Parts: sequence; C-alpha cells; structure tokens
Amino acid sequence: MSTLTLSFDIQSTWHIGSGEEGGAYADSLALKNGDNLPFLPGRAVKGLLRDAFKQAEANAWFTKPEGVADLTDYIFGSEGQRLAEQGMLHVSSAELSSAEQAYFAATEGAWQELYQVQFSTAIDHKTGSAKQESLRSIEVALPMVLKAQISINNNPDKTSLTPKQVLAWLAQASTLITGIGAKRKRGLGQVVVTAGASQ
Amino acid sequence: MSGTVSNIKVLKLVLETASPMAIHTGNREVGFDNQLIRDVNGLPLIPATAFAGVWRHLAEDAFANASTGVPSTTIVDAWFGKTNGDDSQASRLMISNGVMLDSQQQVVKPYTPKDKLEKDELLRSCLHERPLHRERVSINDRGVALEGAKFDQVLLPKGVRFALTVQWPATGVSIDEETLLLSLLNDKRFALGASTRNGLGQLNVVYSELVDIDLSKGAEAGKKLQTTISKPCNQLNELAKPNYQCSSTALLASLPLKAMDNWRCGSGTELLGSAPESGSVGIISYSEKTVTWPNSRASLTDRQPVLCGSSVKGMLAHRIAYHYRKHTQQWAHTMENESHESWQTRPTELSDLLGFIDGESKTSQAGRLIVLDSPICYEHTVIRSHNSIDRFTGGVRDGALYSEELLYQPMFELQLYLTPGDPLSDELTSALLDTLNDIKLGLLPIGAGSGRGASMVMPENNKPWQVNESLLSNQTSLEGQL
Repeated sequence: MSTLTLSFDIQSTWHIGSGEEGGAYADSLALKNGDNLPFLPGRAVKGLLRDAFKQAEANAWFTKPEGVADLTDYIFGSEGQRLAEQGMLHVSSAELSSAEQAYFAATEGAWQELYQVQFSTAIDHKTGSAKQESLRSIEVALPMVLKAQISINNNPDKTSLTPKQVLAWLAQASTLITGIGAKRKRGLGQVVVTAGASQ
Repeated sequence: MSGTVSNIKVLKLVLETASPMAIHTGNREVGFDNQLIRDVNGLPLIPATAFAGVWRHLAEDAFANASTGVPSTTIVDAWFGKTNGDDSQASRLMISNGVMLDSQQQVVKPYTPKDKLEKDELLRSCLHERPLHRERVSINDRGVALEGAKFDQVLLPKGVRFALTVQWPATGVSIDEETLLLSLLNDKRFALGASTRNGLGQLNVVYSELVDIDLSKGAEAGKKLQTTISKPCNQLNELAKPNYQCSSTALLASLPLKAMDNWRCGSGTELLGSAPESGSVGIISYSEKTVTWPNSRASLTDRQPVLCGSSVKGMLAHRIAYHYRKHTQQWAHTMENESHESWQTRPTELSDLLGFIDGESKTSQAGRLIVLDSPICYEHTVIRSHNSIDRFTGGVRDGALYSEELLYQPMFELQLYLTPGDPLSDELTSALLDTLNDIKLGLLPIGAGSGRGASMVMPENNKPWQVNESLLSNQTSLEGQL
C-alpha cells in the first residue's frame, strides 16, 4: 500500500475543540486522546487537505484523468444531496511521534505541560472598553510536530490514476495548508506542512 | 480558504513598539498586578486577536466614512468575519501572532534553548518577569492619591520588534478597500494593549513587504507561499519604509516646553547623574531603558528620563475639569455640602474626552484624547537636600533629612492627539483651550513636587507652539475616500 507522511510543524499554540467546557478552568477544552495528549483528528487532516486540493485543482495544478469530472470528489469522496461516493484515501490522525508518546505515558502528569489557557475579550466599538460578558477562555496546546499517514484504499480504480500520482498531488496541495484548528485566522495553529516520501 | 482563489497576498510586517506596550494575560505576575502575555519561549508576543481587534475597529470607522456605495458593515464583515448564528462569516484575513525578533532581527523559533535566549541581551531583558514596570496612581481633587487607586503595570520597553504576517485571498478583492485597510496600520490609534490613550502600545511599521502569490503557476506557488510565510523577515539588508498613505488621527497640540529651573517627574529607581558622596538619594526622576537598532542590531540604551503620558493626562484632566466647571458656572461655594466622593468625581461631560472607568465596567468608556509619552532632554542633574523643621523647637526633626535628584531645565514636547468623533461642546472646547493656554503661560505645573516649585514649565522659544483649534469645532472623520 502506498502511503504519504504529512508532518504538521505547528509553530503557535493551537486548539482543536473537544466540544466540552472546563468550568472555571476554561470555556472550551482541547481535544485529547486516551493518554491526554493532543492530536489532529484524521477528519480534520482530511478536511484541510481537501480544501487545499480543491484550490490546487481549481488553479489547474493537476491533469484530470478521462472520465473524472471533479478530481477532488473522486479522490476525497463526496456526500450530501448528491450520490454519496467513497473516496480513495485513508487518512490517519496526526499524532506526536511514538517516542514522545512513550515519554508522556511514562512521566506522570507531564501531559499537563502541553496545555495552557488563553483568555480574550472583545472591545466595544462605541465605548472602547471591554464588552460585557465577552471574556472567554480556551485551552490551547503548545507548538509541536504531529505526523499523519495518508494511504490509498485498494479500491478498483477505473482510471489510469496511480496511487503514486495521487500522493504526489496531495504532497503538492499540502503546501497550501498554513493553519489548523480553531481560530487559525487569529494566530492559533500556524503550521508548516511537509510531505515525506511516499512508499 | 473558501471559493476558488487564484491569488493569495501575504503581507509581512516588522512592527516596533514606539512606546512601552502592555498586553496582559488577565493573570497576575508574582508581586505585580498583571502579567505580560508570552509565547512558549517565555518571550512577549503580540496576539493576532489584539492586532485584528484594533484593526477592525479602525476599519469600521474608516469604511463608515468612505463613499463605497456598499454598507460599511458588509465590507468590514467580509474582511474580518463575524459570528452571528446562521449569518456567520469567516474572516478573509489570516493574521499570525507577532513573534519577537532577537538582537540580530531573527525570529525566535519555538523551544529555543533557554541558555541561547539568555545569551542575547535583548531577549534576556524581555524574559524577565517585568522587562519594565510603571507605578500608577490616581490623584484626587486635593492633590493626593485616591484611595485604592494605586496599581502597577508590567510593560514591554519601547523599541522591541515583532514579525507578523497577514495573508488573504486576493481574488475578487477591491484594491481600494485593500489600500485603505493597509493605510490604517499607520494611524495613531493603531495602538495595542492597555492604556493606549496614555501613550502606551504605539506601534511603528518599520518593514513591510507585500507578496502576491499566483496560484495558477502550479505547485511552485504552494512552495512560494510556504517560503514567504516562514522565511526570516530580515533577509533584506535595508528595511523598506512602508509606502501606504496614512489616514491619521489628528494632532491636536504639540507643545514644546522647558522647565524654568530644577525639575522632576515621577519616581524612578536609578540615578541619572553620579551618586553623591553624602549617601543615597531618596527621590529620583522616572527613567526607563529603551531598545534602539543602530546598524539593524538591537541595543539597550541607558536609562532615559521620560514624562509618562498618564502623568500629563492626569494633570490636564484636573485643569480641564476646573475650567469646565468655571464655564458651566459650577462654583465651589455651591458644592460646600457635597460629599468628598462628589468633590473628587469629574463632571460626566468630560468622559467622552478623557475616558471614564466604572468599577463594574458597565459604563466604562475610553477617551478621545491621546497623550503620548514625552522623552526628556537635559544637560545635568542637581542633588537637592531637604529637611524638616520642628515647628515648636525650630530645630531639625529627627530622621526627616532626605535628598532628591532634579534635572536642570530639561526640555520636552507634549503631544496630544484627538480621535475623530462628534464636535466637543462649546464649554468643553473652551476648557480645553484654557488649559493649553495655562500651560503656555506657565500656570500649570507639569511634573512632580509642584508644592516645592520643582515642576514649573514655560514654552520653549525655539520651537513652534501648535494648537489645532479647528479640530475641536470641526471634529469629523478620517479622510479615507474610496
């Protein structure tokens, strides 16, 4: 099976919401795995990749094989009101390296050092002072490097598209990902994505 | 990204604090009232949220006054986004945090070893829990400290540089809107953090580079995007000055002043002159270190005396209130039965100009008057000793001997700016002009120790005295026209 390793070098604090709130600690808690370590879920990786790929396709970075109307849908799958189709990718969650995971598993309480809480408030345009009840807090994870594996399903391919070609395109498209997670347009989750060699 | 984008613009900025800056976490530093926000290295940073918030407020004003034919809220929401249930909209602007530059103008990467940070003089000073701090207190109508009004502010020094990147999809974007937005980065109100009306948080754009990335050029464009965002912003040998037009908040007054004799302001900790042989000095003028960049390398200066904007604003506020009461016929004898609370409360009509802090922040308001810090030039210092005489014996009181370090005839320039808004009332306009006239006539002591004559100032004759009176009666808007 052909695989591609995407390395997410996260340069700033970042937040993937868990949907849970932490009472007095924080209004929104970060998503954590069973060992309390932060990770980027596979669906988030796929979503980021899909958005980047869509932009690349729209700018004619790739040559569509015959019989494929929408390359992004063909590779990533589609759902919604149209006919749902499975894509050809399998995307893993982006996680810390196994050595780092082992360290945090062996060191009691060390995982807590991976998070901090950031507060923010909104300023009222008219008065220039803090808006009432606008103070909020989110739990963010510190900068780190996470890695995800992208592989091609063994679906029968009706086109001449090879797994190697798809992974090469994904690697090219991944350069358009510059932010991950919530508030990525406001300083969180600034990332540089690099693609490892496909196998 | 959403929709088809064929071009991405990346604006790389190097920002320099033009005055000390206070962006706090909301928590307290050990021994201080507040704590600077810091990155994973422990270095101060400019949060993108703070940058975007200030920018948005300025944009709302600018687009409201520009003739675009499109509702200003629609334009601003498109650029900055909005959260409103089903009507929510993502921001077009992707803004990074401002990351501090080291002495060599290099971006400091996350998890840089502590010993490496400590080797850099600039970074070492900023790693300190209080790179700079100012003691603040509010003065009441009797000229003494208001109860419970003492606090301190941990600050970042003037001259620290940050690298910040803004990126947006350029497809379908109005160039006029873009130009107006970028021009706002040079507005005097583009100040970050707390106490911006007291001169803190002023920023200068010292370097800017706008890169247009054409995505139709294929995979190379993606690599260029990554390189542009992550490359060090100081690869250029010369820092290019931004060429965006400034839609500036107006200068209300520029008042060059010179002390009549020995003079002091604030309360500092280190002597500006040489130490006297007789021992330590009790009271010293406030001074602080700043960062300068000779030959594009950071250098921490010796302590320089500075007249803080908050001090000047306090003095102005008291005198403006006095004149305002005079113009509105509020005489002292009609208030003789009023409470002490009432005496030390400013007339509410001054809130728009000077701001107002309500304990519960329900009616708090930022003022429109911006008073900048004033650097002080002086030739030499003077040590003056004081003593206290026992009124009964005529002899010296035990333990009452102290000395202070004064500056001899220092010179400084007060700079007052007024943000756009409604015209001031006639009474308030008169009160403000009377106050400025008092300064010109030497009737308003500016500095500390006014009871001992150590804060008397007069206009400096060699420089022009500017007061833009037309601003007060014709306060309008930014001049941006699309």
